[in-house]
Amino acid sequence: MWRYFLKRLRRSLITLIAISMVIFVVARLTGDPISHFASEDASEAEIAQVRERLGLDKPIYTQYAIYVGQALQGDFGTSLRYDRPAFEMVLERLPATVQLALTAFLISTIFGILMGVVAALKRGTWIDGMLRLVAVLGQSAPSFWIGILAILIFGVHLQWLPTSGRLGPEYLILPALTLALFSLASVMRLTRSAMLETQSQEYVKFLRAKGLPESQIIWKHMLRNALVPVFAVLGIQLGHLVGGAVIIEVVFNWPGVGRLMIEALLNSDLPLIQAGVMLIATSVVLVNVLVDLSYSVIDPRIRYE
Amino acid sequence: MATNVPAGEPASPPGRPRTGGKLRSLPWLAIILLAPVILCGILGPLLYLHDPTIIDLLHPQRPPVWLDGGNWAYPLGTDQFGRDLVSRLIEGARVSLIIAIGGVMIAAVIGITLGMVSGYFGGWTDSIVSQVVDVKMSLPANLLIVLIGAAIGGGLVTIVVCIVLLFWADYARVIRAETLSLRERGYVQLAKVANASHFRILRRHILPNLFGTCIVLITLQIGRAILIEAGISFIGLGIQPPDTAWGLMVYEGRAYLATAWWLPTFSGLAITMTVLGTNLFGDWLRDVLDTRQSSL
Repeated sequence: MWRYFLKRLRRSLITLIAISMVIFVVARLTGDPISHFASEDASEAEIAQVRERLGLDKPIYTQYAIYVGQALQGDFGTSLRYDRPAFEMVLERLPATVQLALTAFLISTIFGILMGVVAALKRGTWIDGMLRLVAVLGQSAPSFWIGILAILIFGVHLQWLPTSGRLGPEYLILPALTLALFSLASVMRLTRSAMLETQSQEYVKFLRAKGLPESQIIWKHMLRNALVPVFAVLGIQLGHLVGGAVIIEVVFNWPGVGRLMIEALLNSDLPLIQAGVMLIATSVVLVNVLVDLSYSVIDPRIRYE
Repeated sequence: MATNVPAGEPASPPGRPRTGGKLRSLPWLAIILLAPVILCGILGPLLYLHDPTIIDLLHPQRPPVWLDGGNWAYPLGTDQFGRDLVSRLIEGARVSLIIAIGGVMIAAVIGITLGMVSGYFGGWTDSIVSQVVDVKMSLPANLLIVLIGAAIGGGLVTIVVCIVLLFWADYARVIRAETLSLRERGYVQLAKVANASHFRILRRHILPNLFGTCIVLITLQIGRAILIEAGISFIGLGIQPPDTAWGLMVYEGRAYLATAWWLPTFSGLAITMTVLGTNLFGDWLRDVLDTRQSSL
């Protein structure tokens, strides 16, 4: 168990280092950072002074080390547009993104599994057909378009739900449902095929022969085994959801990290982008470690791979 | 999906009699969905009802033909500048298809090469490739897009770079796993005994056996690439006006949701139908070519 744990932790650490390197390189690719800090008519001597103060005269690996050191202390520099610490601004927006992604995660997991089980039990009927159609459509339609249609139908025409902002729980409904759709489709397809596979297993035949009520066979024995492959992808699904939230936040004007980053992108506000990407990437990697570890508890075979 | 777990329909049991002839087993829904898009992509300008870039400010936001005020000259209506929506959708088809196919092909060449090399040789090449794939897999797609956008700005190049960087790892991962098992086959071992070079073995004995997997993966990826392209254009990093792409049309139409609902609706519908078509076609290919890679 411990060996697996350490191996997993080492892999995540390498991933985080690699991501920080990518962010660092991107920051250098966007041109000489000096241009952000010195005015255009600054003299050579002044530029050299600023360069020294920012550590830009040091070799690139030293700059990277300084950058990592500061990042570990939550210092990603100051937002160029708002003149506030970038990390602080991102942290402020984090709860909104977490709320949106987690709600969508719960919706897609719970309803995805339920719908998958129903589709498998009703295999070949129109219910199965309908559910599978929903799943294929959910994976083919762009999420922002679904969001816009939802705004059009439930916001503009029926006026049932608010479509912009985050002023109360009812504001969460449309964005969370829209975000959940893609993952819900994946979870449903996986559950359905896993349930169909367990149906032909020997132990199910045995339980039937034993005379166990069908509902117990389905919900207690078959579902438990069918859920193993579903749990394996939940970490990945959460990553998709956090990433997908970026666009959904723009569509529904949701004040999360994603919208902040897109705005920063339009303003070329690099420190804000760096802080946002690093924070979200780190949370995704950490959540994946947790999911993998809990998965290895559910399915002990993993640990001995 | 980055998973090794079977998804979708399990293979049909052997011995189940197949009903209908060859025609029946073709993916008709996929063909019906894709044929008009491919036709628009190839014929493009020949099909325009009006020049898609001509601005007619006298008739902006003309509704589709079946609504009050619509007419047959503009079957799906016009946009905020009075440009014909049908012609713009046709132009968008061309742009979206070229970008998606081009990007996916580049990603395929890179990913398949790396996957074959790392699966065949193993060792440090393999560990480096696997590690990079691992990093790529744990970074959500939209974050990568934001980073690339920050580095090189928006435009056609940005979209292609994003598609390549997002998709190569899928090929590398799948092809590596297949190469690992092909490497142990008898004919590869015999070729080695016959003193064939590594290059010859990879090209003549391993690559042909990967064909089915590659075709299925490429087909499914084209659908995903269209979605990615649409997403990038939607956040303003993709094709820049006055050029157009479906994602951009949804984005632009969003501002006129209350007065001209048809603008975002039909462009999004075009994306959905195309992606649905490629997904169904890819699923069909997977079953026909029997790649056993149900995780693709």
